[in-house]
Amino acid sequence: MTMIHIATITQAMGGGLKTFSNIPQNFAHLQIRMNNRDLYATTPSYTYMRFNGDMGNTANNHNVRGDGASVTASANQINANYVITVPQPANNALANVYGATIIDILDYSSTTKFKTARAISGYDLNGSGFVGLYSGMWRDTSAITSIGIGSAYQEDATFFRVDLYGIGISEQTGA
Amino acid sequence: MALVMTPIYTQTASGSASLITFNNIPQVYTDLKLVCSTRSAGAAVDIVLYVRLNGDTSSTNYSNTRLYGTGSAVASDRGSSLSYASSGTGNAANATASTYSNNEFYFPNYTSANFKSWIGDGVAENNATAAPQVLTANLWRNTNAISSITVGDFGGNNFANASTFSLYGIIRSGA
Repeated sequence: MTMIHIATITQAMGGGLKTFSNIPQNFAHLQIRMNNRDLYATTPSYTYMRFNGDMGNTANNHNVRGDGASVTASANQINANYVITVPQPANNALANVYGATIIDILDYSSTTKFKTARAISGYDLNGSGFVGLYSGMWRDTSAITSIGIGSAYQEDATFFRVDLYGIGISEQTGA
Repeated sequence: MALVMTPIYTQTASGSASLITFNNIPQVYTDLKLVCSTRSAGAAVDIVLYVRLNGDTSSTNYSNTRLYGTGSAVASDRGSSLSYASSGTGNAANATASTYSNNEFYFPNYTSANFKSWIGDGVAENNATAAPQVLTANLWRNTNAISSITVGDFGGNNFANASTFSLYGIIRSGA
């Protein structure tokens, strides 16, 4: 089995950014699986991610998304201080609804590459919602040792569950 | 014990190849998953990553449908009766330095006697407005089991050093 569970954050209620710390460096890739909802009644609402606590303007993010009525592609942030943003229901959205997100980060321990994250994310509220493909880049060649997750507006978030997995690779090439 | 995902092969580009091929793919899994972190030497900001199966370079049995964002615009297109499938996107030489794309291609039931369908989602970040995110649905009109997969730069340019390609086998529980 090559997809190993590293850590989980469950039902966080406020208290600031939540962080996966001391991420092991013995995997090749990381995957985050998240079920998320905002603590605040801010629409639209987003969960964001930050690597190694870097709050400098060292990130970019883009997306292509639909809202049930239209499609949009945008450069969400250039020189941002967070790596990726994905949508989540606001606190005043339909009750008991959480978003679903999978984020993949390849070669997270590389010391020669900037780090690019790719996310599939969305939620539906029986009359509204978002779905899209989201990307983000951290312009730093450091290995990722921590990942902070929070609400884009208040740095607090209500998660139901956020799971971090490490993914290994084969030593065979098949060439 | 039910295996979730098993690493089969991994290749890391050395800067001297425009094609990466995985041969002799074991036929014991249910699905295949290929993740790619790529940068091309091509003189562009981004390139198309194409996929070919079983060394089939001469037929016109490939086709694909794409939804993509460019950072400022969204579009959808299709290609029919091609000798390749345009399955993903990659960073190229004119993109932000040290930036590599993040792609996943998923091949369900790759040993079946059906035509072979796979999906792709890929992003190529950039410290600028322009950066692609693509979703693709792909088809190879051939009933042979998939025994090899080739990923290439559409323009024939070499993959940059440190581009990585990781192939996994996924088997359903109890199989």
